[in-house]
Amino acid sequence: MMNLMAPPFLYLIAALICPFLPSRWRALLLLGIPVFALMVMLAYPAGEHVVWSVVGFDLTFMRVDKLSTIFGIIFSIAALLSGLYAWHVRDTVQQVATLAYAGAAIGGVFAGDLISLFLWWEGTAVASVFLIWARRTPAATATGMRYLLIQVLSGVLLLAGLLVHYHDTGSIAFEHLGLVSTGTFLIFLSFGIKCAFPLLHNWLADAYPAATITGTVVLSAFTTKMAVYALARGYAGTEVLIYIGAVMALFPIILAVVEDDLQRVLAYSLNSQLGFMVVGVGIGSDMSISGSAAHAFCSVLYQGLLFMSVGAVVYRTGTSRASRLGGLYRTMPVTMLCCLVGAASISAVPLFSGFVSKSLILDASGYNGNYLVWLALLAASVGTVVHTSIKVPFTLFFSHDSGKRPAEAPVHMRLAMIIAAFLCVIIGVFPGLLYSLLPFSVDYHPYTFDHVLVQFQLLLFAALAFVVLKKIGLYPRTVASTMLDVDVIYRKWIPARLPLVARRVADLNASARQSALGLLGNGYGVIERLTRPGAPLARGWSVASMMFVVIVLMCAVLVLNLL
Amino acid sequence: MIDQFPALQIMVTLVAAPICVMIRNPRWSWVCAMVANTFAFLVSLVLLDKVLDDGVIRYAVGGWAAPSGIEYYIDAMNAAVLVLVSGISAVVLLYAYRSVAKSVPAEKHYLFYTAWMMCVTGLLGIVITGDAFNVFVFLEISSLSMYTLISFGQDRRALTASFRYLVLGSVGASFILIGIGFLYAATGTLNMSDLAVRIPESESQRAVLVAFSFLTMGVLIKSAVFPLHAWLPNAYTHAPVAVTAFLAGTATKVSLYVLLRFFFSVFGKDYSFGQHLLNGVLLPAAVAGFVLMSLVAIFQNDLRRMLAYSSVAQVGYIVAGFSLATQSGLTAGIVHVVNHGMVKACLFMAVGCILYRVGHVHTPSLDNLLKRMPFTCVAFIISGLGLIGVPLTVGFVSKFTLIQASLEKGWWAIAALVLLSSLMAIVYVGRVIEIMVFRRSRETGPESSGMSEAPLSMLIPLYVLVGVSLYFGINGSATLEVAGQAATYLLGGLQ
Amino acid sequence: MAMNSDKQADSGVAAGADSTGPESMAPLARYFRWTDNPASIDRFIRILSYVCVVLFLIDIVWPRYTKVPGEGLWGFYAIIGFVFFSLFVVASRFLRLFTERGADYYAPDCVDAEEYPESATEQLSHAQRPNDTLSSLGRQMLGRDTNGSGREGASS
Repeated sequence: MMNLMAPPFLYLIAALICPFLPSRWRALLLLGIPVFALMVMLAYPAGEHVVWSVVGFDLTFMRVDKLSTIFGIIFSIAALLSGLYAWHVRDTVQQVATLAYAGAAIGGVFAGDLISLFLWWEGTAVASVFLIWARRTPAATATGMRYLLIQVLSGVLLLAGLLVHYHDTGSIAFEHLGLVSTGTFLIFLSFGIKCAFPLLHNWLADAYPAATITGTVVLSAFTTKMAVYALARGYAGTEVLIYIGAVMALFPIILAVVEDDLQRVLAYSLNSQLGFMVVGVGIGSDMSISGSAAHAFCSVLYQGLLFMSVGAVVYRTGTSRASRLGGLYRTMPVTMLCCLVGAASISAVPLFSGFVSKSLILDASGYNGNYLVWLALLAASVGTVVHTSIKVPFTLFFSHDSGKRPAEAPVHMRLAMIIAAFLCVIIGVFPGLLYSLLPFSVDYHPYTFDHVLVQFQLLLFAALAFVVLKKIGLYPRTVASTMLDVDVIYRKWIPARLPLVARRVADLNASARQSALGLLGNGYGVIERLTRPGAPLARGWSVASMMFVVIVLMCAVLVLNLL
Repeated sequence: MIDQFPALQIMVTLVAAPICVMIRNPRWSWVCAMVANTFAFLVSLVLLDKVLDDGVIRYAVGGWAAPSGIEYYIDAMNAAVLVLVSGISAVVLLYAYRSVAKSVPAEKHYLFYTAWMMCVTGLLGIVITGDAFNVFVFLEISSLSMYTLISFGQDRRALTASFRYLVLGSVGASFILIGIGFLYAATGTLNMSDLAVRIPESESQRAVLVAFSFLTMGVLIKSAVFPLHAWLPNAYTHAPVAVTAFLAGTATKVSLYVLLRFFFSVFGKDYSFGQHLLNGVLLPAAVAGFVLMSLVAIFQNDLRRMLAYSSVAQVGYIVAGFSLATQSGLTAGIVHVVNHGMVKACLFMAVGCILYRVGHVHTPSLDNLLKRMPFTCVAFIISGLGLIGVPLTVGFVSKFTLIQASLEKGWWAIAALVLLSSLMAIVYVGRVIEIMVFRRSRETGPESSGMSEAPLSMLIPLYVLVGVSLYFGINGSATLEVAGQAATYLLGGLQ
Repeated sequence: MAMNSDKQADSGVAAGADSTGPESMAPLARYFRWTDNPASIDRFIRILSYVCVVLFLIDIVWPRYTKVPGEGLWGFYAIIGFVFFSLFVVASRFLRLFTERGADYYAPDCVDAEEYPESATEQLSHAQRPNDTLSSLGRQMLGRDTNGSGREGASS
């Protein structure tokens, strides 16, 4: 019974009883369960708990150490904040999905073996898709289906990988795996999909803007961070991750700069932030792993904050398209301020949370000797300023006046945003609070004069560049449009060429079938001519012909025998 | 008393034949034949039981000991065949009374039953005897009475069919006689056990070889192995259907028994399969038989003809099993002798029921028969499934064993062809079932409405046999065990 | 934390108010009104430029701690910040030439082509803003809300 008190199961039980509660209690459950589960989680001593033996496998559901705990804590906070933010939502589907999704993600980071990891892995996929479908539009249904396919594919790859891995090693423990065999490669690929590696990333920018307002906030917290955790656990120090991460941090930038949908811009910037974490995991030093964990922690907060502020705008105006918005600061100043805090955090302005976590990764890569990677991350930091820190608040709240005068966000949304902003600032001002949670103890002081100086140089000159480009008219104004991403391959090109290919195949098939049928027909004709009633094989033979056969056979037998 | 049972096995039916002639009354001659046949069946059961318990029974006819006297020799193999022959004969005879009453003129009934008794006597005799010449004698008895039985068929085509069979059968019989003559010349004995000992020692091996060739040919003709089967479809089609059921279940099977006896017991496995004959002629003929004849069966519109061609195909399976010359191959062949005997008898009895009520067995016109004759159709379907080899039927037991045996020997092609011809069986049986069950009657005449089931005296024997075959299908090990024992005897030679 | 609820506008008056007047602006937003004034913006840009110059000058007099070769160059970070920002913008504009498609390119399978379902939003204008405060939220949570629950709407 005590085993059912493990945090992931608490969430699942809550998700089960949620539909049967009156609407106010459902919303309260979304607030209460994260707090309660967080307390239970922190009460667990380090070590492996809740080990269930299932068909000969020991499934460990609570492997508590510092790495899993920091992710558990931030997931709980994210669940609480999104619960508060979604206070107005009375849609049972979304509430159940949120609880189940948060539970599965927390289960994933505490899973001590690959099988239970797989269960939670698929759990996040299945639970989260309802947050997209809950939008209840045809496009959201289609997008959710794409999202689900990719997520389940990731789960299937994980399953395949774990089977191969188990076959190779006889172990299902989820410890450091390394890219050493087919099995671990498959698992790596599975993690890579959830972590939105370059070319595997499309689902993120595709699906996050398609969820409900609150659903987007929930989505932004869990799936990708769980994948970062899984990579940190299984593939720390895998060199290829450094390069993957560097590319990942860079390439979404140029897509995000001209993107019109601000939620999609945030999805791209989320993808870029993940690149930082992946680099940290790939470097694999104590400092860099801690940096990744810290950055994941901070990024859940500030990314959530940004999604919340954009979501608040959508809640009041019905759109997240930059081309239709602008000048909203007049009536939504609280949202604007929170958004600015988020923007400051994500671009690592000193005294905000991104500064204390991103520096860890940047410095780790600098010390590691990967200068090119270091430079790429530096560039990506500038890129963050381009597409998120300046673009999102500027286009939403300032820029040209769209004439929209929406009311300020509802009080629960404001409260959620203010708490998130507060946490961002607290972490930025007192980094020791965050550093004490890190998996490895780091002796790092972000607030040196040098560090603060260079950070301001970087950011303010980026801002200067913005001003200059804006003045000379080079800064792109976004228009309602669709920017092609790699997913155009499977969303347009292949479907567009498919009919042609299908027709070719159909033609080939038809001709092959025709000739086969012709052959068959001829063969059938021969058979029928031989065997139909009255045909040579089937008619009553005359005595003479019977005797003839007998004699022929007799001769054959005699000859054969005398040979 | 029990010591005299081997003689009794033959004598009862042999004596019943003249008694039937003397009775002349249709009913009482049937009763006489029925009693004699039932008794013969019981005797065969006792013998089987005794053989399985105590091993081989040797019985010197008239007290003259072998090799100069005639010896009856019973092991598991022929005891099983005795049960099969007398059993099927008894069941079909029970069934025949109503069937024959309709198709044969009443004044000829006593002759019909007389011929039947002679035929049973001959078949039992062939099986039970341990003397080569005696085999020929009984073969002639059974053959001649068979020709007679076939000629009782309703239309005049029965006469030509009977005549063709007569010619071919006589040729076969004379080949056998010639073979036995050569054997006698080469060894100076006619007793099978004695022959088995003396053949390897014989100085004139060439004569033995010629004897072997003639015997093989003769038996192949009698057992209707493709391409020597041409007499069979017409005979089966035009004979009275009770006779067909009887012959399909017993006559070819007894010939196959003779084949086994000579190949394995007299000449010995090493000799028989040392020749090119079996690998070069028998196996290809058997395989071609079951493939081609299944194919032919698909296109037949006369139900009896279809089943006749299917019979030739089934003989192909059996001979293919023998040709493997391994324990499991032989087991498969023997099991299929028994199983196919039962299934084919059932099918022909069902056809007889249809013929009795509908008056014809033109397949395409049997639409919606299930409504009119549900019991007959169900029996036909069950037996048909057995013919295909659906699991839990006897056909499955034997086909499975056969495929296993050919795989054991590494002859994948044979296994594949067996499966292929099973597919064809699905087609030709399925076609009939489809017409019977699913096709709606086109004309809505008065005869198509209402039930007109065959009389109980036909249905009961039919269902007895269906029940037995179902039992052996579900409890396949029962027949397999006996067949396995028989195969061991045959491969080990005569003790 | 009682944000803008202190000065609740009478909704009847606010509905007819012009969209730029002070009545149509939340109290907190007044501190940002300078962003609408071009002169203020120019001043802001000037201040930004001065700060940048100062930061650049510090680099000359202050030898920075370096861990990566080249990092110690004068104005390294300043140049990085400026150059990469411009680079990204130019690269995006360039990319846009090739990858931009109509908004309904993926329609109907993409949310870009459709509006956010209105029933899941609460699109109130500033004039219609609800009188929700922390205490009203608390009342809602405790179930003592008497009239505010209708305001939540937005359940789907």
